[in-house]
Amino acid sequence: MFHIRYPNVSIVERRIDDPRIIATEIMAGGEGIDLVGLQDSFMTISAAMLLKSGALVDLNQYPELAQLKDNCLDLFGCVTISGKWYAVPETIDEHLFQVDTTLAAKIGWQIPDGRWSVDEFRELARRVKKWNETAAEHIYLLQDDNYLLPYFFHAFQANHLDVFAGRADYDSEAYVELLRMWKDLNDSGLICKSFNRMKPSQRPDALLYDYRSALPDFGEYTCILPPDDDELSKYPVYSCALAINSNTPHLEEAVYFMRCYLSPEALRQQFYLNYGYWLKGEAPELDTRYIYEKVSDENRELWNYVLKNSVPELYLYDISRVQYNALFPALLEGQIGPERFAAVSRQLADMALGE
Amino acid sequence: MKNRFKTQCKLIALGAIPTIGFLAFYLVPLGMTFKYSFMKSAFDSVPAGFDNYSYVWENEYFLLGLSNLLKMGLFCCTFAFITAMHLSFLTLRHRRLAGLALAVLLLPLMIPSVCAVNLWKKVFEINILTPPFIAFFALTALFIWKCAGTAALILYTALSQLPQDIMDAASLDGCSEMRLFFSIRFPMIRPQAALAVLFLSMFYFRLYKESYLMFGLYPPEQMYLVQHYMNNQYLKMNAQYVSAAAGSLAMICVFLFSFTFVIRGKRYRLC
Repeated sequence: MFHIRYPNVSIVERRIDDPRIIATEIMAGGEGIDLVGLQDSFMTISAAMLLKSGALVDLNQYPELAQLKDNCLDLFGCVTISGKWYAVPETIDEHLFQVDTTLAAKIGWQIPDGRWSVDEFRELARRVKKWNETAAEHIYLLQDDNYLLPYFFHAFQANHLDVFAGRADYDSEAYVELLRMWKDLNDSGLICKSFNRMKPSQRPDALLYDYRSALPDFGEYTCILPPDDDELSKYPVYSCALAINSNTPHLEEAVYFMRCYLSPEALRQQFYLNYGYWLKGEAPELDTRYIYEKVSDENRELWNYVLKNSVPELYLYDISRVQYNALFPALLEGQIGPERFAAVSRQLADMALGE
Repeated sequence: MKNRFKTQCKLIALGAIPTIGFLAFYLVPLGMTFKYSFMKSAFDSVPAGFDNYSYVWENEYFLLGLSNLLKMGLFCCTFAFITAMHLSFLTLRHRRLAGLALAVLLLPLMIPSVCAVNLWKKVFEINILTPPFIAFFALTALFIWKCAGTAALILYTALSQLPQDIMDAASLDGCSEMRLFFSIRFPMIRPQAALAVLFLSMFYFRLYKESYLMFGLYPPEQMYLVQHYMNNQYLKMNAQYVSAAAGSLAMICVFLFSFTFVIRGKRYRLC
C-alpha cells in the first residue's frame, strides 16, 4: 500500500537499546529515526516526556488520520495525553481480573457485573481473610502477575501523573491509603506474586488473577473489571505504539505510512493480537491457529469498555524501577511505612518533573 | 636559510594536526552547543534569546546540582589530596617498597567502575533508602580510594626529588617535621601539588559515572549533581537546556581560569 505511492522508499526496522542513541538520533533528525516505536515500560525515555519536549508529532494536526479513527473502536485514549494524540497503537494490553468461579462460589461471593469499587474490594479481602481463618485451606485474594508495579499503583500513576503540569500526587492521602491497603493484604497472606502468565491449572488457589494482556489471552475465562474509585476512575491501558519524530525530514512519507497503518485493510492483516478487532462494527473470528482460546462476547464487551475509559499506562521509568526494586520490598518487609514510601516517591517525582 | 624554512614548515605542519583536532573535536562542538542554547528546542529552531539560560538559572535543581558539585568537590578533592599527601610520605619513608606501593596505588584506577560500584553497594548497602550521610560517605570514599593513588604518585615523585641537604640543614637548625613540611617541602612542590589538585578535579568531574551506577538517574538530593541535571535533560530531549547548562559551566570555567591567570600575572609582575 505504502510502496504504491513511494516505490523508492525503503522501510527499515531498527532495534536500539541504548536510550542515548535514540535521544541523539531523534534530536538530530536527518536520516536517523523517522518513526519511533514506543514501549514505555522498557524505555528510559517516557512517551509523556517525549511528547512534552516536542519530539513527537501531534497526529490531530492531520485530518486524514483523524478520519481513519472513526473506523476504529474508541481506543485512542491509551495514546492520548493532555488532548494530544501522539501515536497509533501496535498492540494494546489491558488489565482484566480473571475470576476463579469455583472459589467465588465456595466463599459465597457474588461476582460483580460491571464496575465495582475499591471499598468493595476491601470488603472482599475481609471475607477471604475470614474464610482463611476458619477453613482448612488457604486461598489468595489476588494473584498479581504484573510487570514492575501492582495494578492499583499503575492505575494511580496513570490517573494522577501529569507530566505537563509537573504533578504526580505521590504524597496524597489516597496514595498512602493504597500503600497501606497493599501492605495489609500482603501481611494477611492474601497476595500471591507471580511472573509466569500461568494457565488456570497451574495457578495457586487465588480468587482473582490480575495480569495485563491482549484480548485473545482472556479467551472465555470469567473476567471482571478492576476495582475503581474517584482516584482510579480511568483504566490504565498499555500499548506498544508507533509515533512520528517531529524532526524527521520525511514527514510527508511518515504521515502517509501512518495512514496506511491505520487503514482498515492493514488493521485486518495485523499481528494476531489485534486481528482486525479494533475496527468498529467488525468482530472477526480470531484465527485459533495462533491464539489459545476463543474470546467470549462478555470479555469483548469488557475489553471495549475499558478502552473507552482508558488512559495511557505511563512510566517514569527510573522511579518505577526504584519503587519495584527498593521501596516495595522495604514496605512489605516492614522496614519503611507507607508515608516514607510516599515521601521518597514524591521526592524522586519532584526531581523528574521539576528539572 | 632553506633548511630553516623547511624546519619551520615542518613545525607548522606538525602543529596544524593538533590544532585541527582541537578545533574539530572541541571548539566546533562547543560552538554548536552555544548555538543550541539560543534555540527554542531541538525540534524548533526559532531563536529563544536568553530564555534557556533564564530557565536553567531559575531552576532549583540546576542550582542544587551546582551547589552540590562545588560543595562535594571541595570536600572530595581536599580529603583526597590530604590522603595522597599521607600516602606519598608513607611511600617516601619506605623507598624499598616504592615500586610495589605505586603499583598498588594505581590499581584502583584500573578497576572498571561497574565492578568497584557493585562492591561498594554491597559493603555500604546502598539503595534509595540509605541515609544521605552514608550515601555521601560511600561516594566520597569511592572517589578517594580510586583517585588518591594517582595524586600520591605525583606528590611522591616531587618529594623524592627534593634536595636532601636542605632538609638536613633545616633539621639541624631545630625545625620540627610540621614546620619542615609547611615552610620548606610544600612550597617547593607547589607546582606539582597544583598538578595533583588539577588531576583530582578532573577525576572528580567524572565521578558522575559512579554516582549514576550507584543511584540511577535520580539520587538522594544531597548527591544530585549538575551532571545528573544535564543527563536527564538530554534523555528528555531538552537539548536547549543541556546546552544552556553546558554553556554556563564553560563560562564559569573560563572565568575561573582567567581570574587565576590574571592573579598569577600580577604576582609575577610584583616579583
